[in-house]
Amino acid sequence: MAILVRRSNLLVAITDAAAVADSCGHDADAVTLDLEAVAIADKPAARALIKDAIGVAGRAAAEVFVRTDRRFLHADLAAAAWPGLSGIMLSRVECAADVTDAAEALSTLERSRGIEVGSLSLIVLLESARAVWDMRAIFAASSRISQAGLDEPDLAMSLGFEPDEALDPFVYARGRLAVEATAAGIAPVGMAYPLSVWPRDDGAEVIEGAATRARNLGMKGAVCPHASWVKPVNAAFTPSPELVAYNKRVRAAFAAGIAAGTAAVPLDGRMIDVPVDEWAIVVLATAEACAARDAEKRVAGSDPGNNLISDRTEVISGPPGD
Amino acid sequence: MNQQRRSWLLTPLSRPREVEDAARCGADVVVLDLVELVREEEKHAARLGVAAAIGTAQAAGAEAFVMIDPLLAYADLHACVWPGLAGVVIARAQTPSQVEEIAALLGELEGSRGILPGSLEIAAALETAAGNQAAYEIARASPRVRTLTLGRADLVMDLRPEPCGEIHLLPYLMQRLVIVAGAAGATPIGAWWRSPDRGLLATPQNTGAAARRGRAIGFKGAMCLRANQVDALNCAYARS
Amino acid sequence: MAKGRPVVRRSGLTMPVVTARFVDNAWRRGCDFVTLDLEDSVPQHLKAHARSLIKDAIPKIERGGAEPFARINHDYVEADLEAVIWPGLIRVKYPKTEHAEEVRRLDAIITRLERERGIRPGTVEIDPSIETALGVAHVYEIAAASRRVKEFGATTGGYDLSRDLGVEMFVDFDQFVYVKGEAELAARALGLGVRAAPFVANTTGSVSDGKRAFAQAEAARKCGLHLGGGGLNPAVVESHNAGYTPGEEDVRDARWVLEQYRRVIASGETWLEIENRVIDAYEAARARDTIEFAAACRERDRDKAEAVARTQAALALGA
Repeated sequence: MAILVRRSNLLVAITDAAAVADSCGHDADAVTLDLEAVAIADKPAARALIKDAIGVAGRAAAEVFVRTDRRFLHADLAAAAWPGLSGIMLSRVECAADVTDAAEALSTLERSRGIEVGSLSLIVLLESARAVWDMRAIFAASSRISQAGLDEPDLAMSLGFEPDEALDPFVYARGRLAVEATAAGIAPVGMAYPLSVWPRDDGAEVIEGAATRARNLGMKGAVCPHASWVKPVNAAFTPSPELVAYNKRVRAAFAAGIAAGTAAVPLDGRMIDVPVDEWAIVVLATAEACAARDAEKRVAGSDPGNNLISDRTEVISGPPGD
Repeated sequence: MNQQRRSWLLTPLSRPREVEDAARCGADVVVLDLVELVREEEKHAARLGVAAAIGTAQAAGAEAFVMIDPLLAYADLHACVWPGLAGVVIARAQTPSQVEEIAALLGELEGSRGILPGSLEIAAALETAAGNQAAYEIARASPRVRTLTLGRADLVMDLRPEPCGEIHLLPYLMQRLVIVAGAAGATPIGAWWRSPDRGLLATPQNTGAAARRGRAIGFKGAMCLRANQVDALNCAYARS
Repeated sequence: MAKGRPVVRRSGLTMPVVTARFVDNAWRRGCDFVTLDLEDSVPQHLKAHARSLIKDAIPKIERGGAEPFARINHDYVEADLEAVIWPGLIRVKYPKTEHAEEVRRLDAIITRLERERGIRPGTVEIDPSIETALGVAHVYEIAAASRRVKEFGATTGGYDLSRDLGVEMFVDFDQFVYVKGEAELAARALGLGVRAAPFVANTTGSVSDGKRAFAQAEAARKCGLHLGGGGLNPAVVESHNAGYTPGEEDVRDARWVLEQYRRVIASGETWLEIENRVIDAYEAARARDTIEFAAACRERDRDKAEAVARTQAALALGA
């Protein structure tokens, strides 16, 4: 079972040198260097920064992505596709052709730059009703797509309305994302409402609560606009020790049931049968994959050759969360 | 479309006095109903009154739409396509082919009655499950389709209140409609009524709340059934 | 939907056909239907044995007046259908349906078996369960794939669907709005029986919580829904029966609505506001539905009671 552990994806402005330098110190599973938010006049200079920034952002074993501007897709892709890059975050995807266009350009760049062909992955962000309605075709457009999400602030803007904090307007759109992405074998990513529309820095407890809710709607990670989101997001998308312990009990109870000739076993008032046991396997494997990913980041982060600030290294090499 | 269409007030064509009241209450659109609010035996007489009713609405500064029955489209359209009409609301729109047929008839009547070709709009009222299932195809069936609404879906689809007070399935259908309309380039209208209002009984205050909820999920205006609900809609759906 | 007496399927139990004491006692449970399971509750090494038990289990279920259903395995369609399509079986539940083609294949095999085994053509229903994201993506095509699909929907709390979407179950908010909405829309668009469940929080996951089961069934009834999804523990059966059955008050209210509707017709209006309620053709239709369903429930309960009495008499004679 291949489990993609990309819980937190920290978005940093490529033009913010301090943020880029700092991006590897937050324990993010991925860092995305943002070209989209850069003012048009500054784009050429910003593109020139990408190649070196990939190395910086990836020092602590984070995957590194670049968010491209739909209007300047090809220039942005050419500036981004260098060895060390994990992939591209494609914003404002409207239709399948947008994806195939980017995928073809990446193939060409991979060939010319000595990158394994097909290795650069895509994270697609949908920001219009058109894209939400057509997401099945969009997801089928390229096998490079590893994750997909809604850009909810922009979706509201493109639909021409201002949401109300008390009324989640994207229950349908987010539900459709969870179902269609999962059906296509792609990981849906996103935050729960209202943080999905107002990505505020609300403190670790609120962020973790919202991310947990997102996980229980089917999301597999979240794009983090603030570094402070990373830890609570990682925590929310990592099975807790209690969950791991419970699922070990599930597996044991189910195995005992099978030995006794039944695959329907009561446990704590619930009924344990095949899908519950299968889910327990997934939870335990996810916990292991998260632990392995965290160890990998810890090792890379504590490598003195990586020039990381030492106090931060200590923080991120604290006791494993299991 | 330059005009604001915050409030669409339905009024039975069989009651000329009510048409007058509707026109005067400040509704952006008066929807002259030939379907739901008119009893079968009154329909013939009601059709004869359409041209005058359009005039009444226009004189008061409202746009005039006529709500037609797709199963009686030929008779309804012949009765309602007159200069001054802004468009038709197709009640219980179920299939794209209904829309195509009505669009073609509108084209013919525009030609024969001196109306600018292509100017008459269609608002599709998706009041049945089948209509909602085919919502996108219905919206794309003709460039005349500029507006989508669930119409009286809460009444027709047997959707009762959930324990939390929402009307069962309706919030889901509303959000779906907003996405479909956005994808098809049409304007979604509707309000998020809560039990037991169902539009018919809502006080002006509850209408305002329903409209604000509707606006917060992407609707741009709403239909209503009573003149005293119009102000609340105009207020809630005013462009900021 | 075919007119006539409404189907009464308020309560049911799914049980592993290999557990004899469940099957032998099923007639005592008061279920409207019982699903004999060949799938998730049966260990892999007992599948063949389980198949051999279905034919005799069907009459055991009928002893209590319940409709016998069978749940087959997604991956053993041929062998399982050979084992379950016998006179008396009402419905085949097909798990993890993802494509319309699967339903058409089931239909073809069932059609052949009905012919070979002297069962009236079209008797056996297909209940395609939607338990994966891919299935949700294809709900309409799946529901439309065969005339044997009479009821359709997705209810909350599917273990398989939760696993596929990767969510923990039993949280305090509705995780399945989209899934339920798509399925219910498809069912209604095709005129099928609607199996739906309004959200009632279930944070324990208990399968024997009769109180919660009643609350869920009652909430469904108040939304105008008649069809229950069944349960896993006998403790919920009576709760489901009671929750779905219109109460005397509901029936009285429905009669009142019909009375008032006569006044509406007499007045020449299409609707009237009476005692703060809208009375119109739709309300009248709902009221009629409630009265008919209440009568059908009564009849069903009498049928079941008679079946149980016959079984008890036979047992007494045997003893």
